Amino acid sequence: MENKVIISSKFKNITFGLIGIGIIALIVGFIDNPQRTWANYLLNSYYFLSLGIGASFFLAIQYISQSGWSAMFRRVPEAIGSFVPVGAILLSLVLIFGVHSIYHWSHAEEVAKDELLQHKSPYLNIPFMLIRYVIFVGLWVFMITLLRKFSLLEDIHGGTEYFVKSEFYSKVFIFILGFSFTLGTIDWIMSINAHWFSTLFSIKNFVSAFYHGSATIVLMVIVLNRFGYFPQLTKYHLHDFSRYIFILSIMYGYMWYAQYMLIWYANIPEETIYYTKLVQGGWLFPFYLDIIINWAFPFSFLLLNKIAKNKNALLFTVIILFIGQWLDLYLQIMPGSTNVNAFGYIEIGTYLGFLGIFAFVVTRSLSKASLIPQNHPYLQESLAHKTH
Amino acid sequence: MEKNIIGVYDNEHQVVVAINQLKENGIQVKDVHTPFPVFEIFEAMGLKTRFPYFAFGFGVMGLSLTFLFLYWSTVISYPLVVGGKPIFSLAFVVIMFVMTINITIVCSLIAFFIREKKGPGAVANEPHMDINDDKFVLVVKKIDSESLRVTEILKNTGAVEVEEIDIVIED
Repeated sequence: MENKVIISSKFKNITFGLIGIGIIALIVGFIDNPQRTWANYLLNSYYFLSLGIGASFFLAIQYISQSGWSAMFRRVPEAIGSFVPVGAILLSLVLIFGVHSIYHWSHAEEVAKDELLQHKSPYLNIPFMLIRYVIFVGLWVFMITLLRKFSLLEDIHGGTEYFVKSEFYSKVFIFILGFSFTLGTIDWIMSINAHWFSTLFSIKNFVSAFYHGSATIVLMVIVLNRFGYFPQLTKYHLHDFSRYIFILSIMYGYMWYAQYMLIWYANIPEETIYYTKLVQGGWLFPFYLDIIINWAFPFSFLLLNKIAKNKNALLFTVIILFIGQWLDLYLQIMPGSTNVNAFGYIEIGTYLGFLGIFAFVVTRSLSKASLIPQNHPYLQESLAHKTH
Repeated sequence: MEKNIIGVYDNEHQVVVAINQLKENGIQVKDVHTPFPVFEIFEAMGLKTRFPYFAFGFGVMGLSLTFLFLYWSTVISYPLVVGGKPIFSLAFVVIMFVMTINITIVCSLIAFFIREKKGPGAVANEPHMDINDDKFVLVVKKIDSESLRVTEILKNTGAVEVEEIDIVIED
């Protein structure tokens, strides 16, 4: 069943075109409005990095739970995970060169005036943040590469040895990820509002990454199926994918509501300022749109069994969710950094540029190995999978 | 009261095979008793259930009833300002969420008991006592012209026991 994805030169040209659009938008943006461009740059690099992390987490969960059904789709989360090193490099640029445009706490003169920031400065300073960044990203890249290596070795040698190893390192990986992604989101996103804090913030972002990472996996599987790959994809696989999306949408809605509710109820001024700006400062429409497209829509749409097994309905849902993650991050980054609720060429151009890089890296990684793992111990179970 | 032939099986896979063979021979399977739910049997019998729709209905009912109760009690009947919060507020969601689950489960359980005519004082009508233990029992209505063929199929598919009994199975 040697079955490699062949990337047409047309598709490559499209991705290069998208990258070109992105570069032009960034250059014009840096001349026109550097702060907003840096904010968009941060948004998009974090967006695609979180998709990679979410997909890798999905992969690790499949190993740990020894899931049979997903075995034949394993190359897809691996491919999305291979974006993490690239995304990490892209994110590092904003942390090195754009730090003063976005992070209030990075200005020495602001810190000198502000007692709260002085109190936080032993942790929240540029050198220490970069050190943490290198440690987190280094660990992620190391673990993701390791899992990929085992997967490729399994194709050649077979047997269960590599599966057992992968399962063990997956356990290590999710342990690392739980700590490092939490601290990472605090560094990169939450510290934009340096005075504000929320203990539910990082778990919400972690769930969001897992949620949208899974949605991206489904998106790629269905699109590949459209192009004639994965002929073994049945409605039972789709049903299990929908269950993942459905459960994670509940999880996301739960975290969104819990964070909002606790801050609203406790009514502590330094916490409520974050939501006051969103609800009363001209961000009301995207604020409610966020919860509608990330929770209300998938929850009510995938409730019906027939829709959950329908390929086109599921494709529609995951495309909506692909945009939903962007909107979610837009609401987390923009109010604190630029405080301008605007949607223009910078937003679209940057997004398309990053989408081009993402598509290029992921498809390249996908075409390097056989699309369906050759010697996975659960491959037969995955092919014969049935749900009820 | 009518005559039935029952086949007692050790595992569910044999039951599925037996159901399919009986169907191929044009014999109607009347009922299957299992110690736990088996979806393969459900599908092989070609059964359909409206239960999810009922559960959804109960959920909607629970959600709206809870909302009406909360709205009536906190806004209309006894408006009380707590901590400077608005009277009609976001805090409803938690109670609505929990009560929806609660009402759905309790109503589904009641609906199940009504549909199955179970409850206190109901008479047990098990075709074989071992269905409470570890055996799977297949019940076929006895028609004299077919009874030999049925017995043969049941035995061939691995039934450990085949017998004729009189039972009332309501459906």
